[in-house]
Amino acid sequence: MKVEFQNVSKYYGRKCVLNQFTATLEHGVYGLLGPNGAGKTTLINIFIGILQKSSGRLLIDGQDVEKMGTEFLRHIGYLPQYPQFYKNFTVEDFMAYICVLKDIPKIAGRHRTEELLEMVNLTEHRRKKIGALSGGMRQRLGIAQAMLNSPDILILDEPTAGLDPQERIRFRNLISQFSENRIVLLATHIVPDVEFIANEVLLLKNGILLKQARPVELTQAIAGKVWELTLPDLQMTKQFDAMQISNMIHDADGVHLRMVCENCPGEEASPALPNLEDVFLYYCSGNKD
Amino acid sequence: MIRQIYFEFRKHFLKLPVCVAVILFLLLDAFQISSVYQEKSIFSMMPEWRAKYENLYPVYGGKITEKKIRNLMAYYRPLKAEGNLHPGREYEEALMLQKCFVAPLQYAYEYQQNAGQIAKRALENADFYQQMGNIYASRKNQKIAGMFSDRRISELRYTEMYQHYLQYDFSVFLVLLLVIYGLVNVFVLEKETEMELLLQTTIHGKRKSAAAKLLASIIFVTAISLLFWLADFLLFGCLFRSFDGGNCPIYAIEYFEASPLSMSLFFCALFAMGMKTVGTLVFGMTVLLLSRLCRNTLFPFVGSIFLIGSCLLAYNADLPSAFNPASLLVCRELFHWVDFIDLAGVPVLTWQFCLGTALLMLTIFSAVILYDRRPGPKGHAFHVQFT
Amino acid sequence: MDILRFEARKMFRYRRGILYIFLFLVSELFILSADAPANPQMYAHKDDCIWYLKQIGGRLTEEHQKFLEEEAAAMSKADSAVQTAYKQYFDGLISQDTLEKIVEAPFTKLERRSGFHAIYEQYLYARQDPSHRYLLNTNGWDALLSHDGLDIPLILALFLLLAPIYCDEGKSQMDTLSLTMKKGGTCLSKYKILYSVLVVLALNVSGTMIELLFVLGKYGLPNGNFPLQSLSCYGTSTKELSLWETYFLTIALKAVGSLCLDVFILFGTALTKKYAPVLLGCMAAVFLSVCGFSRAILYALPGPAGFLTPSGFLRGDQTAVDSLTGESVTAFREISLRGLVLRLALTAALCLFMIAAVQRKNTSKWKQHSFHTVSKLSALCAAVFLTAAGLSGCAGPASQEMPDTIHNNRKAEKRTFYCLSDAGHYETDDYRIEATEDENLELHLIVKDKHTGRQFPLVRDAFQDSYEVMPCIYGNGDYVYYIKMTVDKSETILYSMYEHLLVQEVNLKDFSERTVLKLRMNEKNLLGALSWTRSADWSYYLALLGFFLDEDYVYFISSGDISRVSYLTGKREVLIEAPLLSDVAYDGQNIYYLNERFRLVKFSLSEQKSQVMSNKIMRQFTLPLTVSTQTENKSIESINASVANSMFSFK
Repeated sequence: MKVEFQNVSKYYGRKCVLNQFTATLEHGVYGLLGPNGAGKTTLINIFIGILQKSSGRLLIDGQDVEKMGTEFLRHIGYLPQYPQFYKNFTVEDFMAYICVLKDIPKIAGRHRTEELLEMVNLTEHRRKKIGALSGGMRQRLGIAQAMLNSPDILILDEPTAGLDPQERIRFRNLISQFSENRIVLLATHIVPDVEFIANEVLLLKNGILLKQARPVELTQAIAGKVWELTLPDLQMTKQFDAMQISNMIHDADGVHLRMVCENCPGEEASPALPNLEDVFLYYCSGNKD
Repeated sequence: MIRQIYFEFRKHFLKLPVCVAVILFLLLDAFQISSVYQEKSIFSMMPEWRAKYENLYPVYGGKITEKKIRNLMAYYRPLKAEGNLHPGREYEEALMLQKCFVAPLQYAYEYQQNAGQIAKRALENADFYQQMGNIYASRKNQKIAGMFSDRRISELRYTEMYQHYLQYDFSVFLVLLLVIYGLVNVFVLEKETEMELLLQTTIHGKRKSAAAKLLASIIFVTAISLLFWLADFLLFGCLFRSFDGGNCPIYAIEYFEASPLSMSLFFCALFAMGMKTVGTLVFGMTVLLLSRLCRNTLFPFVGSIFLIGSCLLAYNADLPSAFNPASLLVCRELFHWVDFIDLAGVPVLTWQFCLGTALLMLTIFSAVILYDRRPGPKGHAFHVQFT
Repeated sequence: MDILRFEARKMFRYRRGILYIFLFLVSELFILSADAPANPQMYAHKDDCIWYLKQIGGRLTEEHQKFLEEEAAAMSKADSAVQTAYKQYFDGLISQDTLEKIVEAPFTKLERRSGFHAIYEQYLYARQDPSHRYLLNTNGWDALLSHDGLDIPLILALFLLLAPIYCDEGKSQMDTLSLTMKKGGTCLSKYKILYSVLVVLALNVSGTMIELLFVLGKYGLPNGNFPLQSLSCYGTSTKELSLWETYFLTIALKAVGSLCLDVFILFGTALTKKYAPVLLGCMAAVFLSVCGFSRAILYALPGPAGFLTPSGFLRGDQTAVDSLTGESVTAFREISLRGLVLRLALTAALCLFMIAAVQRKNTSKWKQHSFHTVSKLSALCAAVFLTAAGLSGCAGPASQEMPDTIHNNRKAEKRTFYCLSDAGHYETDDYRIEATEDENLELHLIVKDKHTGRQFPLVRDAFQDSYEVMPCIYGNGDYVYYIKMTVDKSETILYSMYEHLLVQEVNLKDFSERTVLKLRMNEKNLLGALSWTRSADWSYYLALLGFFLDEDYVYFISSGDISRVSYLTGKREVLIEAPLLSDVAYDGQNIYYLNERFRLVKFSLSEQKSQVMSNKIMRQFTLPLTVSTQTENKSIESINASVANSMFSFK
């Protein structure tokens, strides 16, 4: 399965929210990373067909999506941001309902439901009402319903927002599990989610695709631009206000700074190994490629 | 507090859908008033009469004198006789004179005498009841005597505009619908957007917020009501091409000959606007109360329609209306007749009682709306901070 | 089907749809329970009417006309014969046996008099257009076809059931999710629309069935093949339809109106996902249209309002009196079948357009470029709509007719005796109250103080020109009751110059006065609520001979019957029909009257049964008040024979 975006743009009046987005996706997890307002949700909404693009094409295995009709929908599974679902439905009922909507035969659907609920660890809650589920459980239910039709393309919009660390880790593992032989497009601004599981990162800013590369390539690209420094007191940190400080810890030894900048910020500074968060800061906070 | 009221007003009422609804309803109202004019105005049914009327009005209109009456009758009687014999131009002219001058003049001229008779009879009744020991009936008749003793209609004016304006009800429907539409979301919105929880964690988020919503709602209802009643007044005046007659007393219109009010038609129109606004406010508080109790818009909306509709139907079915806010909306019925309610032996005019009851209902509803039984500090509803 | 099943579950279980449907059905039953026959006389004498209709029912032929005229003449002759015979008897010219022989045959003839009267009135109506106006028992058909208010329980039920269909999807964000599914989006939307249509049709059918069964049980529905014009409310219609056809057409049009409202609601909620603006729009489209606009505009506009009050499409021209010239003018012009089809087409085009918009809203953007079919459909609908709108015409201004309305107050206490012969006066230990006419023939109710001789009016209303008093009073202990009719001074006086009929109670201790019963005699010009049917009751009250009252009712006596009006409902029902009603008495439990054979009959109010008390023929009788003090708590039967005979004076 290959998905190609060819110069996809979206304008609201004169304002451009997605500018000539071009990318090719094949099997694996793709992290769609960017600050708020970067165009992540816009891109996803265009992809799944709830927002009209202004220009460009989207191809799936070389075929234009516009010509595919409802066949296109067989290939996708979608988890929206902050899903409510139907509070009065039980988990089981809801999965059955989604099976109907996805045109999955009853018996096959029932098996698939059992399988997925097992995978997302919701089997013992199958008869619970959705309104009684915690946020994490609801998200797991969300991914289960997205996987019901065994889609080739799984689109997840901010799936870990609002989850506690344990749930986040569990969710990441699920995504990794599901990413085998399919394309997973994961839109988020929580960098660690992408860092641990994404095969490639698409870095968006102001509607423009800044980078598409593997995480290790991105971090290598800013090698020598991440520094660590310890100062005796907080007052002294003011001189670095203009720089991108990615982390600041204040303890008995002083103030430990981690910052992203082109040049060494001071004699006491030592170079540090960059991570994806540093990459995010470097590209999305005023530094240009 | 003022700022809070402003934000509440902006949040709930200064929205494009509300403004569009108001404009559309104003247009609908204008259309309906135009229909009323077409169907009921003498000069709409008989356009050729207008010119003749305007010619004769300076002669026979204005201050009523014996000479004018004699001249008019001298002009009218032969026309009538001729018209009865040979229906044609004379018949039509006689009909015009009769409808536009003779009948109104006769009514105006005789009114003082009739009112005097009423006052006299009322005084006799008062004495009679006093002798019978019926203090309430005696007081009632004394009040009637007081009302009617000095009444007279000294001028003949063109009052058709006021006559139809005071009997026009359609805009009441429109205002009620707009009030429901505007108010139904006031409290529901906070629940739907889950801001309710956030509000509870702020100093002015509970009772003060409710008070601000209440005051903003009152401002909205008052503004919408006055907008429509004023628009009605202006539209009627423009269509009937006259605001004349505003100085005449309300009883210059025959329908109000036994009215408990003695004010001029213009002030009566303003007073009617006020009464209707109070009635609308009572219904508005009902909607607000339902909004307070429900979690989505559907139930308060349908519930409001049901409750308000029931009040209107009950009023239309002539069920006891002293406690029905709908009676204020159709206040012409209250102005139509001298009617009293016995309040511990004191005769109170029905319109006063209805108005008082409505104001009491407003107070009670407001208190219920402001009442907050959720735990935690509530703060003062109307605390004003001076900086 | 699974989607429909889920939609049903969502609507009925999770959104309390079952509760709303239950409330709807209960409301419909409640409204039906307040039903009253359009022709009470025909209802009361159903058997006699059926007998006549067996002879002359259907098309009015010359033979039928001859029969009716002859029957009328025979009735009149019999009536005259009876009156003559009784006069002769009371004059002592003939014996009772001779009298019985003479009147036997006429009375047999007159047994069916009331039923014949009802049929004859219908005949007077039918003979104006015998080819279209047939004779039949009309109550059932009137119940189905002539009432025409909005079905408010149905409309509220539609709001509650249909508005959440799309709104809830928006709130739970399932709308975007469903767009990404094969059978979501357009497919799901189609099922939602289909399901809503089924629900609307089910509600219409259930409401119709309840009404039909009720009417069938209460009145029956004979001769459904007779022409529509047989009902007086459709008298001027030119449509060639039978009653059953009219009924089916009416329910079909009402269903169209409901479906149109359904589409309006779905359109609004699908586009906005909000309740308030949609409900506001629907309220404006339905209630404002019906209550605010003239009938001409109401039935010219496409949309649900006209179809929800469908009888207007089938009625003929309606005339009204011009308030200026007094001439008859056309207030409403009949809508032809062509006009009806045009309006149906307009409404259908509008609905199709709305459905297309709903489908488009629920379609993935990837499919919208290929939405050619729907776009074409929308364009077609728009074209049809504009063309039809251009071709459609309007009827003239509407007529307005008045329903009766009521207002009731406290009930009277249980009382003692009353006689119709005393209707014009009442006496207590201190006062005598009687109705007198002055030199100008104006009626006054005068109170005479027995101790001082002083006289003063009973009615102490300062506004003497604003009412008229009826020449009958009723007394009960220290309370005396009288009837006054307030005069209507509003500009639109169409049928009656009176505004209200008030039964007033005066306490003779301090002469305080209050209203016991208030009936509206004229149209109430409040907030629209136009009605087609004219209330005939106002004329009944103008010819009253007397009245009395108890805890629950006021009983009115006219020359042909005794009716009672409930304080609660204000509805008048005929209790006793006695064509030669000359004297009536009431003892608190029973009503006594002379039937057409001048025999004393006792009607028990508790059992609702009549019983002839005596075979003696009497012209008049009274219950003397002097006896009443001894026998206050006893019924007449408990008095021994000699006393019983002495109670009744024969004149």
